[in-house]
Amino acid sequence: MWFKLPKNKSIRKTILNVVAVYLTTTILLLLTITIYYTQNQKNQIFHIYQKQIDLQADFLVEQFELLHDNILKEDAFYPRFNNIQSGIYDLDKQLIFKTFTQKVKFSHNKYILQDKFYYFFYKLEPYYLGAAYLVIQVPKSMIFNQYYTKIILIVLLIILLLVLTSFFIAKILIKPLSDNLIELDKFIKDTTHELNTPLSTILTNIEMLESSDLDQSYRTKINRVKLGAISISKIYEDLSFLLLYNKQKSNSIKLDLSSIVYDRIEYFTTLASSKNITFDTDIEDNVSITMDKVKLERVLDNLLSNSIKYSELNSIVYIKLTQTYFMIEDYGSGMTADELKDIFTRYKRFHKNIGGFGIGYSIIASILQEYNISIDIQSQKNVGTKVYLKW
Amino acid sequence: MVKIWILLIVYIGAYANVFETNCSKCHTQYEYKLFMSKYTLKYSSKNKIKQAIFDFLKAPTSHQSIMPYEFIKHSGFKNKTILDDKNLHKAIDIYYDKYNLKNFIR
Repeated sequence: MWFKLPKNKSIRKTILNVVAVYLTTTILLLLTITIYYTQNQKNQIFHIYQKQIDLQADFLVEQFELLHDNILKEDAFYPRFNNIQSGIYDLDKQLIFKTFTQKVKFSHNKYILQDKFYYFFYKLEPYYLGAAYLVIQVPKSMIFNQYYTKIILIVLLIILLLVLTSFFIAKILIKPLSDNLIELDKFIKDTTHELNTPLSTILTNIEMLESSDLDQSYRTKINRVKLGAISISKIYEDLSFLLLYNKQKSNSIKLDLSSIVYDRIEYFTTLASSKNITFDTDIEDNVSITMDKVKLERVLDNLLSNSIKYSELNSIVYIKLTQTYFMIEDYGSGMTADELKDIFTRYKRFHKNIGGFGIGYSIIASILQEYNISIDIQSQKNVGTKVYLKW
Repeated sequence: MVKIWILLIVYIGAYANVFETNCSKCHTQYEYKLFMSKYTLKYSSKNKIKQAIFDFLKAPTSHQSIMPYEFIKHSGFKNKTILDDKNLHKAIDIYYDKYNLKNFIR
């Protein structure tokens, strides 16, 4: 359909914002015009209705005359109607007969509004059945309901048309931006995909070189290449998770968390040793968890990578795993309370001199939310950060 | 208690008699309704109707009569009432209560 919203969240949000602003202003304008128009029309409608009531009164008077003429022969059966009620009063405004139950206060005006009813007064002469005054009672709702229903229907129809046209306009306006974003998205996806093969080749060859007999100076150089490759690999994993894997259905299975934690620590050992950081671990054996393995690794990799990134040189990263929680603690730059509030915001980076896209915690949060795992981050600026995952 | 009832019945009987004994000798039910219909059409309210009847009975003239000239010509003209004001008022009250048009509207 032509008004179907795009899948891209930011375009979707922009379209909805444009539509919301457009609709709010237009509907406010429409309502103002409607209220003004309704007020004007209300008086006209009342006058038209009043003429109908006048005709009804004339008809009633004719009936009274007939009844009065026949009263010598038979009792007078007072005329009754479904939509309106009426009553007759003598010259001293004493009740003769009425078909409504409410008590009416006489007025010098042609009509009054009293307790949701309009009362129309007519002075009669001659006094058929003794009636010097005829009072016709009409519910207020009866006069205006039909009119209001019509107005409401028209307004709703206009609003519906506005909603449809606003989506159409928003889509036309957003189209160039939307096309660019789609292109950019496609480019990042393709680039990420193309990174996979060379990166795997680099890492495989480094492992092969490490196992071969090399002198120390070459080994150091190879180690530096490996560090760079691990960093790129981490970025690749995060990007491919966000762009590709995140959109797939999770494959949750029972995993040996203890051994996966060990694996990931080993993977990051080279990176940690480049800053002379040592891992102090207290890992309980046979801790299991039901999760998607790729997602679990993204959580652990991001936590480990962050701890290494923000730790002081020559420090310790403490890791603890029990049956109910995982904890990782580093000693380094830490974060302020304000920074902590924004930690899960995507692309938010607190240290511009340290690499990364600021997507790590955003990925962690989305995965933990899916598996109902709580996260507690305690951090102190220039002291360090402690992260708890509890399930 | 019995005394009270007897007194009440005697009183009502006496009160009713003022109208029956003084008016019903000459007028029929149809005429009563006809007069009331005419008075109501002209005077509308209870007080005004009673006053108009009172004024006419005290000093009947063709000018004050509610009935048309043809009726007077046919039925003759009524003499001035012999009742005192108090009894005349009583008789008119009974007449009004019995024949006012409200009683015949359903």
